[in-house]
Amino acid sequence: MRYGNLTAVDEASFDVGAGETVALVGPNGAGKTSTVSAVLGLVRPAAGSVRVFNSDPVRDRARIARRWGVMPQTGGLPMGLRVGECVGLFAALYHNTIDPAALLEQCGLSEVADRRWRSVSVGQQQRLSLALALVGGSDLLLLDEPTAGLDVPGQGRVLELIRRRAGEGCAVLFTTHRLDEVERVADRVVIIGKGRVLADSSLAALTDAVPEIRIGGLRGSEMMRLDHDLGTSFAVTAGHDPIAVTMIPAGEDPSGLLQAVLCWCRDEGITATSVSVGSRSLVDVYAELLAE
Amino acid sequence: MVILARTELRVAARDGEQLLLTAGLPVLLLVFFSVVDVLPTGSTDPIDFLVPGIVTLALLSTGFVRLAIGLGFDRSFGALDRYAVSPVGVIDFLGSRALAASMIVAIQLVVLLGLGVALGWRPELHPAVAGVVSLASVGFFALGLFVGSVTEGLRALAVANTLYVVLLLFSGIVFDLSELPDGLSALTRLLPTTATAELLRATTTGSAGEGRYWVVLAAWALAGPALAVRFFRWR
Repeated sequence: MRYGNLTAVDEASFDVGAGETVALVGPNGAGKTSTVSAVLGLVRPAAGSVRVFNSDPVRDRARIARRWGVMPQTGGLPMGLRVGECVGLFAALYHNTIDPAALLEQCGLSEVADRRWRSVSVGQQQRLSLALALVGGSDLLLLDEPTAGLDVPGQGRVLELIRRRAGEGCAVLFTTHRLDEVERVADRVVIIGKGRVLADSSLAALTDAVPEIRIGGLRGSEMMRLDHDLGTSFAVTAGHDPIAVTMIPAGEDPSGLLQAVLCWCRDEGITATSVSVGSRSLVDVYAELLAE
Repeated sequence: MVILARTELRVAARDGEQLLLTAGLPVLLLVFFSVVDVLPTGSTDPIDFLVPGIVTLALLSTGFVRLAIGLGFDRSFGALDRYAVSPVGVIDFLGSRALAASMIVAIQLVVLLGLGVALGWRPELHPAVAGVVSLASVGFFALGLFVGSVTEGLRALAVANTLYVVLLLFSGIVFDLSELPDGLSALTRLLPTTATAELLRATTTGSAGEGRYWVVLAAWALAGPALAVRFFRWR
């Protein structure tokens, strides 16, 4: 996708299936919102194609828009409307709607239903925006940073609503900068950087693909000896109690290396405070993909 | 379209400043100039001159200015961003704005015409008067939506109000066109306000009006919607 001479998104290819929740993550300017804009048919890609419900979202927008609910990153409403009226208005635009009163309750907006939307808090406006996306009972939800500006209970409420809709068979694509949210609700994560898809995988596959051994309590010189003796490559994570971390190459059994580490510690008379084998965190995977 | 129009009417009812401009100002002007005889109305009875002119002014205020500013501000406040990704289509959206404006115009007409009669206006209505109001409404609504489509926020306010003053001054609304220099007078006869005011004066005094004004009004009524739809953008 191009804006003048700027290529915002290049080679982004992924899909979202019914009942699936996909998180689109990436740093600022990576092309997340541009990608969502293309899915919504607001911009036409310079090359390639976007299909939503097997239709072109630019050409067939009027028809397929009845099947999606959208929470744009920014977006106001007609001035002077009350919160409840906004939800009622959007309910009237769809066929298969959720009861507006029930939705206001689920979104924690019942108490402000009679207040003008501009007069409620930013967090309440954000939840109203989600309510407008949900009220159509859509088959596809497109949510651009749905928890931005929300307090912790608000974030939990929004994530729960997303999870519930996905459980009812709705396809969900959401963008976020918060990887903890991805771990809480996403089935799959698409990591985008500089307009390209760097990873498109289930969370488990992404974090389990390269298991790691973590050893706590080693001094720097001890770690260098460990590296040398075992021919591994340990890195140190920051913190009061440095932890040496090494990745296990794909397909290798980590138990062999773990055994070697434990024997080495015993032979050298070194007491490690902790030794573990586990999945890598999404934060680490994300940081490494972007660094590459 | 109806639900959107109803929403627009609800918003309009809560917007006191806009109501003052669209409803209050024409009433005030009608009362003032019918009591204070300062308008150069030529040989025409002042009230016969005044009521069609004020009705034109009301159509201009409600149809053109209000729609242009409303659409421009809805764009700057992001309301159009949300409609852009909703099931609302362009024609439905623009139509709903025009429908809501029609409702407001209808109320204005009842008020202004009733007030005119109370002030001594005794019209001799020609059937074509309905055609004048319809064509003028379509033209003004569409021009307002066009301006609101190509501007936003304060720029919409500035453009709409500037055009409002131009269309108001260089037309036959507040004084007889014969008062203007010949060249300027010829140009003003091409404006929708002039055509509307002249045709309203004719059709409220028993005549069908001059053909050239019908051509001008019909041209604006055709060009306006085409411009509005062609240049409308959600973002």
